[in-house]
Amino acid sequence: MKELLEYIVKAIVQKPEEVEVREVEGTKSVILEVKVAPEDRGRVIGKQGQTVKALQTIIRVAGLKKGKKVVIEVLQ
Amino acid sequence: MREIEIEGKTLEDALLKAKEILEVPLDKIDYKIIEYGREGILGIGARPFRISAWIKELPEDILRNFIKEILKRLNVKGRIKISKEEGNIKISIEGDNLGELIGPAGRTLSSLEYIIRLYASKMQITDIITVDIDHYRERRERYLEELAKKIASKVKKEKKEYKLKPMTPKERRIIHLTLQDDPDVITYSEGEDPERYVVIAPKEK
Repeated sequence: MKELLEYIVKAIVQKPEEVEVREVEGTKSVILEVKVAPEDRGRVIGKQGQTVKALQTIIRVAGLKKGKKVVIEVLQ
Repeated sequence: MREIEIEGKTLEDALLKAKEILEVPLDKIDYKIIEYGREGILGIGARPFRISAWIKELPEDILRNFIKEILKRLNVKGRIKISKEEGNIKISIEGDNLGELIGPAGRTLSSLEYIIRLYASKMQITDIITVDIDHYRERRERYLEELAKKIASKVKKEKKEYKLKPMTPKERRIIHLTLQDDPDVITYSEGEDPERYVVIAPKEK
């Protein structure tokens, strides 16, 4: 999951070298914390959070296989 | 990607050299200027142009690779078919067990399409991109057309309006278009996305 998210985020931002993804695993869910360059935050979040939502929907397919819920957090 | 660094007296000169080495026509070459040169006066104080150059990738190849990498990381096997004509790129992913990639009501497919478009815009691909998985959109479209006709005949018979399930704007459009020439019913949408739905009502005469 982490690898997939990292790949996609790096592909859509202007500064891929500043992308960091951390996986925090709980018992029922996985939180993926995403850190990007400040100027890329808007791009990763999208209008009304549309991009994060789309990312979450895709990553969930990977989470489904592990039987866990996936939440993506874009850090400040 | 093969990238070469090259010098030339002028930018044009450097590009022509790049063309010789990469063995492709000039319009297939992308380049970046590393150092601006100048011609100097009678060659005095002249400095060459330095550029890096590489063969332009086709939009289809760029997108195919992106999708391939995503599928690989999702552990999903699928064939990626891409066709391009007149500013439209159609992507079709085919294979067995792609249901989870389509998702409930095609939501995962829509998300995938959204991300692919976002990536394409970053890669300066300006074509209109549509993505389908296992002909889901095609099948869905036919289903919606049939649904529209079926409900319309029910509305006519019962002379009562009928509310359909919430649909995406694209899906609602299919319903409106299917029934636009039907003289006995009217269609309109109500509610807010993503709960917006189409109403089919008898036309008052």
